Amino acid sequence: MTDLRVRLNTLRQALKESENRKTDARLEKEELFSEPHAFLEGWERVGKYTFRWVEQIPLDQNSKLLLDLQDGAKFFLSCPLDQLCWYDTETTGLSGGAGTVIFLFGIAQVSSWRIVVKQFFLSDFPGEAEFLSILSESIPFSEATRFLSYNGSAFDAPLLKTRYILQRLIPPFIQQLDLLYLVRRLWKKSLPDCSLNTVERFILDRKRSIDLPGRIIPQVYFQYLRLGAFDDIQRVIQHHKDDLLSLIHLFALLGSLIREPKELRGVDATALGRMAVTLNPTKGWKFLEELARRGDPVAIEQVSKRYRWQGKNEEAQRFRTPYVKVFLSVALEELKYLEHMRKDYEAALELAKFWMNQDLPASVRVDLSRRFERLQRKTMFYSTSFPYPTDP
Amino acid sequence: MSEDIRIVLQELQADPSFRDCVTHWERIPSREGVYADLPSDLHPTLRRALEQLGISRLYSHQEKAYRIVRKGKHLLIVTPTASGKTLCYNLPVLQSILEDPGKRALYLFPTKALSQDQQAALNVSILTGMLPVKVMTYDGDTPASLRAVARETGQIIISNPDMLHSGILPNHPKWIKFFRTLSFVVIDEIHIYRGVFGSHMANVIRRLKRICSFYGVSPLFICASATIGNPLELGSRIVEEPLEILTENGAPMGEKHIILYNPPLLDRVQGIRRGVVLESERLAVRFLKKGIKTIVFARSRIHTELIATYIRERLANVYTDNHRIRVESYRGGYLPLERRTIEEGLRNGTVQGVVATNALELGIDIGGIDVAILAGFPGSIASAWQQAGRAGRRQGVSLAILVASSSPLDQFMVKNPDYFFGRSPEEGFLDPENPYIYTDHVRCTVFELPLRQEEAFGKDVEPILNQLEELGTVRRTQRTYYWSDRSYPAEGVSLRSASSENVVILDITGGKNRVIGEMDRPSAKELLFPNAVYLHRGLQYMVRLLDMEQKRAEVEEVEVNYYTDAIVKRDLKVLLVDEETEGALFRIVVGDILVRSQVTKFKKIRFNSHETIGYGELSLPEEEMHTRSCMLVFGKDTKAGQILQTRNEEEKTQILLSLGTVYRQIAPFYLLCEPRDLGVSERLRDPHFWEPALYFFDQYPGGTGLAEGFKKHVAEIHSASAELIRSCPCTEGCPSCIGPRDPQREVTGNPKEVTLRYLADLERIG
Repeated sequence: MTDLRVRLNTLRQALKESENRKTDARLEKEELFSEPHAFLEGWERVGKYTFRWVEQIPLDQNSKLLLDLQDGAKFFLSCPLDQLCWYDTETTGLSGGAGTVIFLFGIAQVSSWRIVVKQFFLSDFPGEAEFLSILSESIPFSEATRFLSYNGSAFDAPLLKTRYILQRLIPPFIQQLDLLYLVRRLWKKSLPDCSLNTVERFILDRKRSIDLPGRIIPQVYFQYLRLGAFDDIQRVIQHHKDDLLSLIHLFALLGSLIREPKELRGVDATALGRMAVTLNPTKGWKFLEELARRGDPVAIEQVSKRYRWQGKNEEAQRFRTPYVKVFLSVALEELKYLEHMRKDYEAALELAKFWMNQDLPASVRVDLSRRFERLQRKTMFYSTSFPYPTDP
Repeated sequence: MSEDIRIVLQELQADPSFRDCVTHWERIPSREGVYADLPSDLHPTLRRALEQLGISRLYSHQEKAYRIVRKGKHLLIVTPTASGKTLCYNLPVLQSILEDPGKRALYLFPTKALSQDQQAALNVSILTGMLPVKVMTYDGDTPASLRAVARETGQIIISNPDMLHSGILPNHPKWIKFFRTLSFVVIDEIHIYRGVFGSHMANVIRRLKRICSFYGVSPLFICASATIGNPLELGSRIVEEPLEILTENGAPMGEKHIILYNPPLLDRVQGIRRGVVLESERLAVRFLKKGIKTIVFARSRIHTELIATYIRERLANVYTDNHRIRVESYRGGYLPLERRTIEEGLRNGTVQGVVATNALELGIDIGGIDVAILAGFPGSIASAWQQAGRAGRRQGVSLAILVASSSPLDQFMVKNPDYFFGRSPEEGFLDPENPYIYTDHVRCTVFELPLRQEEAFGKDVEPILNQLEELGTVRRTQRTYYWSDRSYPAEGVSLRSASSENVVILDITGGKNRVIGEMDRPSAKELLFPNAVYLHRGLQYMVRLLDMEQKRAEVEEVEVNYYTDAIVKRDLKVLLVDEETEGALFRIVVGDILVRSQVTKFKKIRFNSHETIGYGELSLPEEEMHTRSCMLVFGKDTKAGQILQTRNEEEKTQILLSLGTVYRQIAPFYLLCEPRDLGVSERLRDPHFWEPALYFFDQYPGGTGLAEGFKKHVAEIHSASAELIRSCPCTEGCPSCIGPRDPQREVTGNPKEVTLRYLADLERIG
């Protein structure tokens, strides 16, 4: 904080000296820095204030990455891989307000066995309208494209819309899948946080040799604007490109997990199973059944319900039986089955009695007691010492 | 009901113990309503809705307001309470929206509570299912799910300046649909926007207008103000547009009696009177027992609770019907639901009496009350009239009694009825160009929209932009200033304080950790030092910790019989003189000063008796503050200086002290402020002017217009102060005039006599 006294004095003095202001000298200085200048090597100038970088990374057509990506596209988006477009931005701040500017916009697409990365750089604020127009021309914003992002739905896309509005341009249409939500569902329990950095290190096993902390990125850009700090801005651009590539690898991993669900890198197996059954039913159910056999209560419940709906009650029971005395949720399923489908009140009663002797929370006990009492009445009435009413 | 009041009034008149305390009894005759037909172009849906609410014609001012707005002119309505001002703005706005459902309106209220009530009021017409207009509240309480709905589809958005400043404006692209067709901005209670709050508000409106022009709209401003001395000046400075002012009031009013009441003296020498709390309570009970609906306005939360308790105790005798009389207290600390319940009770008659802080002063509809008792002068004539205006219905008699406390201002006011009835009320001052406040908003507006070099924002934005550029916060290129910082400038700017360096006050009683208030740094040093007794909304707290680094103070609730007063060593330095004028008595100088203060000791002063019962030591670092000051110089060539010269050293000091104390107490009478908003310091040998001087300075860093306001009213402040000292019955000085005689200061003469002699001599040659 500058000396307040100096500040106040300066303000008041300046107000008094309004006649003496020298505007000419300032104009000169200003023009010097507003001269469109060159950018980093290899970048193409596509506008007065816009630069573009295009890079192609070849992929072996038999590479696992490519296969995983194709599967991901199929399962998550039901579309071919070449309709996908990953995107990411670098901005001058973290709020979505009117003063936050996107200065770097990057996309990555996969086609004909190569990854094509394109980055667009805004070299100064006055060029934003041009920058956005170029984005509209260069980026496949359309109904056909499926975009992928990390936290794009809450931050990047609304911010992009804001920038277009401020420049009085029509905002583009973006239909996206935000990978953050998938990561949260699958890894929330085992990761300290769901930042892309953490995901990279623990799940993708991709480490960057030197990376810069996200919070200094705005400052680097401002320094670049003021002084043309090329080295640092180069690092930001590299960081951004690495982010895009990580997103691709992340999506590939997700694709492989849906194709062949397995417990990998701390994933929440149950959550994966539930996701897989909707996206890849055959493999999904197979995985879930495996989990059920190994004793995952949620999996057991899902699997047994499914068989029940299919009318295959005995199949369903087979999954439950080993665990009816281990998980209450499984027991309840079993009790309903025994009581209402099989009408085997004695077996039901025995199971209910077992659970009544366990430590239960109050609300659960209340429900179970009702069932227990009902079963008692039924077994008394229908016990073998009394003839069954419909028995001849 | 009114029959009973007339009887009680006669009783009061016949009662000598009451009459002796009355310093003035004003009778304002009843007034017929002046009506006008519903406008002919009124939308049939709106007409039907009004008729359903029982409104078949308008008051004259409502109809005039409608016409002015329809003509496309900005409007300022100045009316007292309960005169149907809401319809003045609702009618033309609703009409416009019904004619063109694409139009939008923004309603701004100074506090949240009021917003919710206005929504309720509007909802009434909508609930009748007759008006297809979507009204939504958008403030801190609005859940995230409703915010998007409000932005997209709300036709009338009800909000407050704080939300506008930190939520809406910085995110204006999200509001594009709303801004593109914004046609009206309603600012209610505009007189509230004075001082610091007003200085901020003027800048917020500047930002709003900038954004409106970006979206190609130029909304119409409809403002409503209570009666203050300069509503047009204040209103114009807030909206910076030509305003058409409407002051007539066509609402009918029953006969009103206004009584100025001074509790009897208990001790002449010490100037102690019967307390305002008990006196007000006794009066209230008198009316309540007769079944008359009564409201008591108390100055603080603790007084509110005390008065309510005493009234309930007195009515609790089960052998009378009195115990069924319901009296509720009402104050800001209550939950909104509790307050709604009490308001409803007042409306439907299940609650007969209410004791309130000035929260109820802000136009909430509570039905007709017959008697209003003001337990202490609320600090400004404007507020007093608003509170007194709470009593009164369209027909019948109503009564307002102003019970004076022992404070100098109360005493002055109750002894000088002309001041209350004759002159117009206080003027509001603000300074939108206060460097700290102005800078904060320049930052905000650049964040919201890049500022072109030739664009104006306020008086002179260039020096501030240059500074921000040097700091790197903004970037100038291609003749435009862009925001070049990663922060969100609106955050950390509170509209109700002058600098973001506030100290947060935390209540830690019983393990709590609750923010109960904030205070600017300089005041914090003087009011929140360790072991200080801090009074907040009527409750007593003791300061346990003051951490200036972390900008926080921890306080704990206590109940003690004393308050504390810091002994501040102050050093003032004149930085810049802006203007000097020769007044009738002094040389009057206005400029920037540096105030260095240090608190090393504090006094413990017993309540009521005001005796000093102890001292405490402190070691706090020095505090510096830049602000504006109005300096009264007793120059050799001025009348005041000439007379002062003839006195000895001791007397000179006493005279300066006396005048300083009383001027400071009286000044709020002319400037809408509290005594504590003005700092005073006296110098016998001033290092800058080389003559005795009295400094009056704005306690808010950067100044909020008080110094300039003080300069305007020096002559009046002096004569009012002189009058107060002369008419005070005490012998040596008391809290009601120059302050009690301090036994610690060994002075030979009687301080009051010294002062009076000086004033007399001054009068003779003046």
